Amino acid sequence: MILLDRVTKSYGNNQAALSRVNIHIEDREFVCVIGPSGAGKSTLLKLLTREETPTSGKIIVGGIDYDTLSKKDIPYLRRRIGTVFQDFKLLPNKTVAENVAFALEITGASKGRINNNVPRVIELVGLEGKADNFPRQLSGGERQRVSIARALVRQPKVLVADEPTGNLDPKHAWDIIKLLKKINKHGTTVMLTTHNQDIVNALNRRVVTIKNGRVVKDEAKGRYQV
Amino acid sequence: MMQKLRRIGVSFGRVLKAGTVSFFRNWWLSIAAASIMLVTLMIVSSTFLLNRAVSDTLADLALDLPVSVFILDDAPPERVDALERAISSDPNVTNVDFTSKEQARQDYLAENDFSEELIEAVGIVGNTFPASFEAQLDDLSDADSFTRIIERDEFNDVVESYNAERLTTAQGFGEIQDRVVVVGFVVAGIFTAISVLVIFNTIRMAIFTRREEIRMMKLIGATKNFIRGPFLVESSLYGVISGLLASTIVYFVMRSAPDSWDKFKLTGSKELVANNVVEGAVALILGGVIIGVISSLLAMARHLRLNT
Repeated sequence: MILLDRVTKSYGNNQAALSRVNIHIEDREFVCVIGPSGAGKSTLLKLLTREETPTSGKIIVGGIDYDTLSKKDIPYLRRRIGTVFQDFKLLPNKTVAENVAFALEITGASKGRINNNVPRVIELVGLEGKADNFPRQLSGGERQRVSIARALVRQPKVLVADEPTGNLDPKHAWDIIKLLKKINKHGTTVMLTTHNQDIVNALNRRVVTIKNGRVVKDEAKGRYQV
Repeated sequence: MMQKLRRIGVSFGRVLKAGTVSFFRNWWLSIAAASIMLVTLMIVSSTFLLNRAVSDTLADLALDLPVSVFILDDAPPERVDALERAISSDPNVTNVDFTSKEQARQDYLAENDFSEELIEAVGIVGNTFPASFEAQLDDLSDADSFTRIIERDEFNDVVESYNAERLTTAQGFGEIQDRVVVVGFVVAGIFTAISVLVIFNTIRMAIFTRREEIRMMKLIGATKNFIRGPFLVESSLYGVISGLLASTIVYFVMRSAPDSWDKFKLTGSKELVANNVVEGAVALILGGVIIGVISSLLAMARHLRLNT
């Protein structure tokens, strides 16, 4: 599903943000990527969403070889990867339903498809009854649920979550993790970057540890050790 | 194929909606941008109509003022014929009439109601009226080719004189027309540049205030056209609104212009506006849209980074 083969990303003459990283994630896996700040976790996710291009190495996601992508293909690649951001990135002047629908609108989806999919996803993330609320009327956890709903509404095979609990209190953080587990159970591959030791330890899933741009540990049922 | 077309149609509708929403969301900036464009389009229209009025004045002048070329009494008839042929060959000359000495005398007496005193006086001094050619010029302000013909050395034994002051007057009008056009275009150019700058800045601010939204759109898979589209729609709307307003203002000003304005030869301009309401509105709207789209494209090229 996700393959990074000897991927290196350097900025100028400084030390490489990522150095010869090899990661292979199977279909339907739930993988935590951990590491101290500046280790290269965000760079890794940016490479997957093609915000950045690797200096060397190969990336393949869902059968798409990134070397064959042209610039005009990038939006279509991003439509196949659900992305959840630490700062939610919601449109403040759109309601919950409109924010979720927006992910479909940009693809040219019909009104019928939007009306069919959006309420189902809002229900899946537990925000039924809040579809007409604006982001400012929601708690942090609820906003992150909207962000997840927006990522899911196009039914991606891969969900990439960049520190989704970083701005949340422990209770809401756990709610989000439970939701990600539920999504993974439904068949979506989840790649989660986090700093939260409790979450990583409690999840008891595969953990990839990155330090100074290198994969230093890759355990099938890992614990938080940086 | 049909599905792809349907998707494009749906996306186009959404881009139109997003651009319109943005136009009203930044209404104060939109009003400023549309106002400056309105001024620009009004200046362009006024220049066009003023130019038409001066042209009409010149045309009237050409009809009212044929140029007379007076013939020497002792000019040989074949030389007079040669002069007529030469004048007629000038493409700027639309008509040439010959007036003999006797006809000139008769015309003079007729103009004075065949006054007996005058008839007696003319009888005493003899016929001093010269024969002449009356040449009708298409463009009085550009009579150089005409004057070159009658001032040729070969016609020194034929031409006594010609009324150059009429040509000078006409050339004066021509110069005024040229200046009207030049000043009009310079002012229109300045205001077009100001419009471009104002719209450029408006779109730049819109890009700035929506930068997070744009980044989010990029990250969730919006295409470049889907992101750029609303800005183009927004700037086109400035053109549509200001073009509509400008054409409405021009139409009503020209329609309600008092008759006393006709001394400025505005009849042609008024007819032009009245007979081309739709064409005029379309031209102004199109002009506005072009200015808006160019400004918007410049602002996006400079401030909208979509390559990552």
